[in-house]
Amino acid sequence: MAGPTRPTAGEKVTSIAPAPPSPLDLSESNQGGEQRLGLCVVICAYTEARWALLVRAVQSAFAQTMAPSQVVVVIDHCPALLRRARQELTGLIGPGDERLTIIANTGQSGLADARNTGIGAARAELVAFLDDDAEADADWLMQLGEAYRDPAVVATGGRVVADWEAGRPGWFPPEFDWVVGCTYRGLPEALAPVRNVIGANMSFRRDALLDVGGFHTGLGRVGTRPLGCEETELCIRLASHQQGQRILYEPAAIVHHHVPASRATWAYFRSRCYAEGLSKAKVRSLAGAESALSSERSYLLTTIPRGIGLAWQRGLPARQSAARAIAIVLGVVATGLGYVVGRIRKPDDDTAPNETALSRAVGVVGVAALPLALVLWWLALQHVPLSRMTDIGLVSVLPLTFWAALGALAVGFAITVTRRRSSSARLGAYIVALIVVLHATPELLYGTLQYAWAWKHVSLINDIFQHGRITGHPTGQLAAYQAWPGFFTANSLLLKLTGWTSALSYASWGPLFFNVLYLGPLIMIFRRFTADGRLIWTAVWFFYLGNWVGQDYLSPQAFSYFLYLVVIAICLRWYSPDGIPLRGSGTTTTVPTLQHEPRNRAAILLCIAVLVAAIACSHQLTPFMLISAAVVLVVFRRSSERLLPLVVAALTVGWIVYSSRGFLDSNLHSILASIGHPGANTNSSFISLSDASRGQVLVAKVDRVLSASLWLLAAVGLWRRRRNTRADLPLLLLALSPIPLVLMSNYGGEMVFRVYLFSLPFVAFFAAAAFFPSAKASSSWRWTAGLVALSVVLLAAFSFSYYGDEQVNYFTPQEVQAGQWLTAHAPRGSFVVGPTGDLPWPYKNVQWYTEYWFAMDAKSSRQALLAHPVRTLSNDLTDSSHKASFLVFTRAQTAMVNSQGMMPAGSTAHIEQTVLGSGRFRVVFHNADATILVPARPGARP
Amino acid sequence: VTSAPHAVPPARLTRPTGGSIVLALSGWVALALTFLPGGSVPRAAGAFAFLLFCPGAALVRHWPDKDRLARSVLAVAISMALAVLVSQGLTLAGTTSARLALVVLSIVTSIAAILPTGLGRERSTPS
Repeated sequence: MAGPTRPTAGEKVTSIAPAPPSPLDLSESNQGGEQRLGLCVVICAYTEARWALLVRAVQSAFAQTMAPSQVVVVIDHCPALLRRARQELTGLIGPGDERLTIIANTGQSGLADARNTGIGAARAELVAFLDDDAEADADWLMQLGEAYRDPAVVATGGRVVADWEAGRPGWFPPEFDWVVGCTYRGLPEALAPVRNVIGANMSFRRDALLDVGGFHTGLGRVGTRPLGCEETELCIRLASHQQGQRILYEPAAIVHHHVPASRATWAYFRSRCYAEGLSKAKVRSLAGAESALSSERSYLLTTIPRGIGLAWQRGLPARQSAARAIAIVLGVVATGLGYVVGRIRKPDDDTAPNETALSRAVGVVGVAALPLALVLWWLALQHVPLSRMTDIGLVSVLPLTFWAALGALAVGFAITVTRRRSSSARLGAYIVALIVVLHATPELLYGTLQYAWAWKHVSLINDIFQHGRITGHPTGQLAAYQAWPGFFTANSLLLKLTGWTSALSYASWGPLFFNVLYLGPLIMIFRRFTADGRLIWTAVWFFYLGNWVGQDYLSPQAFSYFLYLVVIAICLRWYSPDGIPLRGSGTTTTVPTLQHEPRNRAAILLCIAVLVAAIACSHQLTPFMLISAAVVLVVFRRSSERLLPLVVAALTVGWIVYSSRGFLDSNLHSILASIGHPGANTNSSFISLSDASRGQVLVAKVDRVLSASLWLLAAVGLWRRRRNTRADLPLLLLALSPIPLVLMSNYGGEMVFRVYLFSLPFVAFFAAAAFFPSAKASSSWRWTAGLVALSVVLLAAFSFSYYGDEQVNYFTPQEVQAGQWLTAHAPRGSFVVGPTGDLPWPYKNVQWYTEYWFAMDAKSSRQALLAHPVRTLSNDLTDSSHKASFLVFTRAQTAMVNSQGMMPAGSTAHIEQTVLGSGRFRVVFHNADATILVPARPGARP
Repeated sequence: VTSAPHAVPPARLTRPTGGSIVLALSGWVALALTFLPGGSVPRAAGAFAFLLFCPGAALVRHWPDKDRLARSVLAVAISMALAVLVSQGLTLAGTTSARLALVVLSIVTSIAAILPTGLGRERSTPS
């Protein structure tokens, strides 16, 4: 039985023959047309002391009636043994027999990574494991292999017969032969399904092992403590990975396991039983009680009582019978004790198995903070005086309980994430709670749809719902919607199927929906680069704290951003030239993907094509972000699929040529004009701070600081992960890939925000790496405290940035009423005038209106209007050739003009009062937040 | 390095599974629900559940990757993408019938759900 290794400081494996570059890098196996067929035997060894046994094991592996296609001997961090094996084993087997592979464990020392290294080097479909102190019967492989005729079988184990060096001690109960790694009394006598196999004699489908990420390094023997259970935990993972997968026990496949005299002792028996209990507790924490302890229950209830009975019946001397019965009882007690200790200890942190009362108390805080945060949040929602909102948005009216809820989330998350082995479910719950608190708050408080743009999107969906297309003249922004209608068309399909009449029924849940949706592809992407849960979840956390740009409402951008993330996740996983990393086996181990199999390659490319086609007909910007990403991945050889940029570009251009030519024709000039003016493109994205209100200046500054802090933190993370630079290169490239687009277009002044948005996932990963650069990085309380402090600051900054414009984005029910009145009374061809377009338009005809927003006009026009409001507006409204004219003043418009400094403070109120008092306009609608006027003179209409 | 292997009930091997039958029928159920009054909860729930999940979930059965997260994410993404492509395709073809779009998606879903997955299952046993 291969066991623990005790690496000395600075121990280095001297390479005698070329070894694979990383433990599970199998790139060799996919080259040269080699096929993975047959059976590979993996033998792991760690000490020269068992050399003779190792030789017997290897010889028995070669002496099979069904010859193995390969025998891999993995030497676990023991250079002397490695040298000797390479010199002597080859000679023993026969020089030139290429079936023998001798390699060093390139992962962490220990049996789990040694086995993972073996899996990596295997070039067969089936992998069998034989301990270095075991000897297989000649028909061992044949018996094991037979079971795989059933395609549902993923693992088979055989019988392990104890080969006692000094004879079996009389007291040693056969029910406890598992103590020495052997088959014990109570196991099935014929081929039967089992929960798990025994380490000394087991075999697996190699692909199934790769699917679940190989052996878990956190288990197994570590140091002098003979833990174990890693094959149990693996089998539980295998069985739960896919329904219907079977694990069989074939007692006819026999291996003889050497049991040294040192293990036939009371001390070893007791210690091994205790360790088994500890391991079971650990398996339980990893796999759950049901699967971890299912077999043990029946073992305890059936095998043990029967064993005690048999001890007396076998005609053994009475003294020996008594000793056996006592051994059984003591074994059960020692195991139970180990289990209880393991459960109490809750080894969240491997480095600190002896938890102090303080750290346990901290752990309780980590658990309790989540419900506390949700309760505080619920209390906060009870009283928020929206009418008192100022130019710093929601932040000005959110009560203390809301901030306390955010604080509780930050503390709870930081504590939970820094404790190793915290369950993904608990961390996921924190992230979902964060999303809910941040993105459901406006919806629950307002009761109306926020963002004028969201209202516009709703009306476009309703338009397609009613007319089958976006009606109206193809000019300006409307032309873009008409050229990229995919998202709206799909929503109208959804609307028709639900039987609702307006997308308003669900539109306000957009931010919550899309942010939850992003979670999946984000984890997929991060998991590709690290197995460290702390890094993955902190990166996700930072993503949500940094996603303040507000592109998550019901919009083509939010939708295509999700698809963009999914496409990137697929590319990173399937087109990686290094292969897929194996989870649970350190950070550098990789295995090759199945990407080269033609059927898989076609399936992946087709899937990407479907997603890209949906993006291409839904949004004008995202496909170019995707092209940029695909190009950098291919140019820097980080994608094995060279066709990727071509596929994305062909679909993008194809759609534009087919459907959007009209839009490009009319907008090509402005797009071309902005190319080559990067300064203009970056500056145009920010509001002019010199004119904005003090609150808005603060919000804008916080925006910038928040964005810059994340990028700075990412730079720190990049430096701390400098050893991983090569592996992390795709993330770095993807973080930078949106930037060239700044040079190409200003995208209506939005480009810098979009570039930030598309870089954010990758920036967030490196920002998290500043805390947890590698699995070995410390998880001490200082990092927890640092993460809490940073999270609190980022949450506050996020609230300013994301909620900072809410005075403008929020619409009161009175404003919504005004919008409804307008669209019900203004016929097609109407002329609508107001300070800005910040209106809730629940309209049917909006695309048929002509709009004029005077506060957004040129400075000279604004000055003229301020000087002579009545004359100017009356000329505007009466001299037009429109069917009807409407002058609209609302609360949100005024808030927008004042906060962004479009006109001097109080201007809109002044204009409204002057116009009202002039007698040249008639009020047709009025409530607390809105006034709609029409020209008083009937002759106004032509 | 041991632990107790014990007999467990043999796994069910029959195919197609219950899940794939549910998927195969999902579109047709959603279609039947469209005959309920507009805005009723089962109708809306059926429309959302089908459009956002089912076509992708059926196709993902054939995806060469067993990772659960990847499969769930792809199921949603492919479903949404297909909703866009089918609705947009039919619009370009000159029809805006939502039921026709649903029939197209249901056919795709049913075929993908019923077809045996095959991937990785026909490998030869060791010899």
